Amino acid sequence: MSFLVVVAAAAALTWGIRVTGTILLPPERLPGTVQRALVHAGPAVMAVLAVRAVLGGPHGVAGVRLGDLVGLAVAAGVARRWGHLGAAVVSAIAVAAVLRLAVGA
Amino acid sequence: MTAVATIRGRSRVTADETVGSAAPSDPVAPATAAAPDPIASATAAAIRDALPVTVGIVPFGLVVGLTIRELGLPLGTGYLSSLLIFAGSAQLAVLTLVGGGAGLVAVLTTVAVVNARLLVYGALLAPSFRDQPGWFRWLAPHLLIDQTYALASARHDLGRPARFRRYWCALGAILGTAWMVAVAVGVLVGPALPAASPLELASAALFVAMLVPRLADVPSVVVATVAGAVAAVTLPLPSGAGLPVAIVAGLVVSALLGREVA
Repeated sequence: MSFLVVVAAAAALTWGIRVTGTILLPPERLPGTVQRALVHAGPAVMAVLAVRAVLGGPHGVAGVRLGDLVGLAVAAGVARRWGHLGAAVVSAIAVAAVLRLAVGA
Repeated sequence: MTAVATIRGRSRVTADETVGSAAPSDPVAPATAAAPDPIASATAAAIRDALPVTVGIVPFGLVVGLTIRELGLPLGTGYLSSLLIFAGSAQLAVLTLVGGGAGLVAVLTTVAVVNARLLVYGALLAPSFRDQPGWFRWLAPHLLIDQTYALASARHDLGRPARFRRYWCALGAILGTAWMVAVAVGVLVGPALPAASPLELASAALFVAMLVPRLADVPSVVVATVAGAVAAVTLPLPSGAGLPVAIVAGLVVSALLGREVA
């Protein structure tokens, strides 16, 4: 089977999932249980994405550096104090880079 | 009205009131003196929001580009898949499976599992897509990814359909361009790039920075903790299948907590 056909099929499926969520499944038509579940979907999704971004590298947990964790803690502090995404990301990268250079962490 | 719709509805009212309050209260004052164009400012907001996110998606794009080259797939089709699929995790799964000789059914099953979270994102953003023109309702969901959902759902000033539309299109254009450029660089010069860089931390930092402000109450903390723990436990599952599993686990806890409160 052609690679292009597989890509086209995967793209069509992905688009269908997106459209189903945004147009065909509005929250008010969902059962009450699902609506209650969606109330805290934001924290759930962000937590999952954060964990996967931290641990999902090629080396898994073993690939996580102490400097990276310190950088993430700084990002959390900046986001909580000032709520600025750009500052949080830049400060996390800066702290991690400095720690890698300084102590190899 | 539903809980979700109530929350979204409250955001809309607040946003509309905010927009309304931007109009000059003094009828003598020039109409344009104190009232910034809410539609144009949506583009500026999208640019401000997109810049830190762009730093986060570039390393991922480089990895995808490098994967296309290393698996020996047709470069043109592989690069085109970045535009057509526009979902990094799913694309990486497609590339890996096709490179390993998997069939169409296996590929599509994996894509459905990996992208199942987009159903949740879409349902949460559905009110913002409701009062839009047809072209936007059918085409703009293509821009729905982790980052665009996270940014759009965090803003409470996108109540007006035109303002959301402008913000969403600008956000998608910026991130889409950055993604395509990063994949292209990965295809062309990926093997020469350093293996590890602090830039890889950008995505994690971004999601942590988005998570922290959402932990405003005990249920949110509980849901986030459970979802994060399940995500860590299910990491070994192939092709990112643990991602939707962890999100569903968080949603189940959310539903149970909601039932107790009700």
